[in-house]
Amino acid sequence: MRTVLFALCIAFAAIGPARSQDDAHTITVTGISSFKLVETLLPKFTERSGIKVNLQILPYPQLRARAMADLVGGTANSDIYLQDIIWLGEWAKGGYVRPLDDLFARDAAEVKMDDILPGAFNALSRWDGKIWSVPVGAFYFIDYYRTDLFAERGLAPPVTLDDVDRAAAALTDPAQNRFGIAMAYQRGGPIASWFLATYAGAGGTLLTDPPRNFRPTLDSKLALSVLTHYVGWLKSAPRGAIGYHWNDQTVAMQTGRLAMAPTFSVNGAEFVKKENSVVSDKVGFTYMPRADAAQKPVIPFGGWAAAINAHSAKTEAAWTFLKFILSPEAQRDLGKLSGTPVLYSALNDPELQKLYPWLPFIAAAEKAGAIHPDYRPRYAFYPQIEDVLGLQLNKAALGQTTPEQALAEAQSAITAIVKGAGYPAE
Amino acid sequence: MRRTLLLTIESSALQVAAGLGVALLFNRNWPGMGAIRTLFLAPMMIAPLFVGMIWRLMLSDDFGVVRYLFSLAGVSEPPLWLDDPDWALQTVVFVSVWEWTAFAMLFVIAGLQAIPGDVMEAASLDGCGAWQRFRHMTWPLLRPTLLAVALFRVIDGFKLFDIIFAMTAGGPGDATTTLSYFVYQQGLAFFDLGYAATLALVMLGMVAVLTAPLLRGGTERSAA
Amino acid sequence: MKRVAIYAVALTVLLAFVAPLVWLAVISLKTRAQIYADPSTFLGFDPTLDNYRSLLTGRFPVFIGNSLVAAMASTALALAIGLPAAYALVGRRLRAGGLVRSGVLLFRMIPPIALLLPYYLLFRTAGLLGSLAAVSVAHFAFSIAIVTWMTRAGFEAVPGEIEEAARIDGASPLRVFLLIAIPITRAPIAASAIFALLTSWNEFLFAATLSSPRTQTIPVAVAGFAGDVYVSWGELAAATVIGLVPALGLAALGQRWLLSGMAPGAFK
Repeated sequence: MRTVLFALCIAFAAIGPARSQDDAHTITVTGISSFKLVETLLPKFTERSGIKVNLQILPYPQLRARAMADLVGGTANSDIYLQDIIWLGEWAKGGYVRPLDDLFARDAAEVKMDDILPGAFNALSRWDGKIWSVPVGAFYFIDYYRTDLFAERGLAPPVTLDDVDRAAAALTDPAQNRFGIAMAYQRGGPIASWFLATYAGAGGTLLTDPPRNFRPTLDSKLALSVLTHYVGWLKSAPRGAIGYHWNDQTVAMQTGRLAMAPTFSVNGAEFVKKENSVVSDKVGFTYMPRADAAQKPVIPFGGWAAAINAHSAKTEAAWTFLKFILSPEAQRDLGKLSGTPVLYSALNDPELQKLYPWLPFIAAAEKAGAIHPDYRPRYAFYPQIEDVLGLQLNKAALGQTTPEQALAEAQSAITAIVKGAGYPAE
Repeated sequence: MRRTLLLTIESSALQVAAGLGVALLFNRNWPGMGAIRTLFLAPMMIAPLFVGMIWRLMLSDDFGVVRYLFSLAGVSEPPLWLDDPDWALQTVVFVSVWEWTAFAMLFVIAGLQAIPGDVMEAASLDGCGAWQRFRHMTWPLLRPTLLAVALFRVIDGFKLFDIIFAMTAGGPGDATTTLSYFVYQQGLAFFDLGYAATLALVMLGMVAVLTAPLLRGGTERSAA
Repeated sequence: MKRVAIYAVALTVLLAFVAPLVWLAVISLKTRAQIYADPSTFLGFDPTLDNYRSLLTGRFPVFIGNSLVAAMASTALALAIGLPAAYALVGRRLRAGGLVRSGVLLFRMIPPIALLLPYYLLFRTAGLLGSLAAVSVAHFAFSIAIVTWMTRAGFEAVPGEIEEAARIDGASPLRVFLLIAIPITRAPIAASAIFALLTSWNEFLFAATLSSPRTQTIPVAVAGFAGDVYVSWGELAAATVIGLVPALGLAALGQRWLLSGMAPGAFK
């Protein structure tokens, strides 16, 4: 017995906290799996700066939990957190992360701010007139389609929602395991996010005019029309699409089942990677369908930024890392793998353009100011909105309710949520 | 709420029943049986989150192996196991039974071990058939173990969350939105920890009520 | 003849239950394109060991070690505290035993999510956040109820006369507990130990929240393959299969204890 107890004590001493490695030259970076690509650049960074990086990759819910526990608790278990676009308002308002304006100003010679894509920068990092983070992944929501199938039928790339309906119907052939289109329909984030992107592409915005008026707009004619189209597309989708997460949509496109797959460019990058996709050389792209061809097109935007914990004692080291991520060289290397760089210079890199043919299209849209940062409102209450919207939309897709009923339910629930959070909704 | 109860009771009952059957089958000191028992525990060695993901992949209507097997059997359009509101909850029950039957098996075997071999032998010599031995000897002696196993399965079934999270996210519609999934959302997704903690206490009360009969049954036995 | 039939049934049951894992092992040998091929193939593909190679040359072996340490430490802790507790809770020794037993259960009834933040804050205050000790203690808290409950029933069955006799012979209570009660109760103890090991082995939420990049356990590392853009099924499957091996080894060790007291052919 005594031996056992002794062994136990030894064992616990051995697995206790090992603080010795956490010196001033090691920073901890906590992020999401798409940021794992940065791992390949870390040796170079450490060699140049002498700073070691502890990279912790977590699934989305755990990243959220760890970040919030650490940030709200006022501790610094991680010096840098990846920040989802929808957390920006919350983190800025709470003062959880360090504003970076002074550092950008100080190192203006090193960091070329005008090279950072303005739409992405604005959407991911600017809030209340300050810069709170550094963009690391810029995801543009566009309509990907199969050039070969469209050419075969003599179809032009779709411009309006009705065009999508027609093309989807024409290109669906279940006998050949080919379907016109599939969106994400799974309850929760998938259907809410993909629907809102479609709504934004068609000219809608979920909230009337934040921060002045937060009244949701789901009682509009446009919302009903978009949802009717969205649900109608199920007729041209694989049987299982009713349960699709966006990952499932990506796989369906990669495996050649779909003629159209509107999605983020980070998923689009998977369509053109030869080793993962049977359609890699047949992928076209265009703006999301509009309600009316005369409308000015917009690109719904999402993505990730990196923010410095306000309580980190290693701000300088963390900032050095962020500057490195923002450097043209790192952006080019990362961009090759991810297809989602955040600098003009990377978008204009010929090698990258060859890999991801839509990059010039993105650069032009950025120049034209066609980026829609708020297709999902960047407020702390967004997860609740996503939940009620995701449930109601899913019910409409299942045919348990009509689109009218679903939108009416969502409208009143979302109004209650924003009012409950203390925002005006007239 | 109704869904939570249905899920909890149905899956616990199936797990205990299947676990008992498997344990009686595996409870032999023959060569190879140890290995069989060990391998049977394998589903429990995988985090429930991944169990859910793996089953979701297998049940996929696009390239899932389950649909493929059905097509070999001549069924070209099997149900959408996870995406049909009429099937989803039953699929969740099925997967949880798959993962946790081994738990019941493990403890039932331990319970069977406590039954003295000579008692059985004697009964056997007295001409008792297998069923009679089970009915009159094994069952009464095993009852406390089974009650305890059922108790833990009910408690864990009530908390079941990872599998739902990974397979259906509470959908389709709200077909698999159980209490514990709801609490999870309040806590982790919305970060409304106060509300989540309150709900958790309510749940605690409900499990306590739900398990009271099992608890009383177990205590009576031991007092006797 | 009967024996053959029973073996056949046992093997069929086993296969029915582990078939999904066999399929998982098949996936772990596939490239991404092969995984999504329609129809699925069991054998008609070129197997690749790339998924395993990339795992075993990376940091994954460290995470296996972490899982082993956390599983064994939490199990040792659960047994060290749970067994004496269960022994003391035996009905004839403690009148309020039922109440205490229910109390032990309460903890297991709370949805884990409600305990996550309290744990986080607790370990932060203790300066243990990110250490394997934190993970082990959290896992211990999950398995203690099972250990206490399942072994108490066993201790209950230890005949009081034997203990009494030993005590009259001059054995201290500790000796009676260690040398008489524990050996008699070894089957439930082994089952509880196996379960405690597996509880720690497959626990994700707390391990993900309380560990650091260096102290990840297997599930936390595996979760990294379930990406926000796509799931790396090949690596996920390979990691899961690798993770099964040590767990099966530990369970096999426990099994030997579980049945060693069994009379051969006791249950024909």
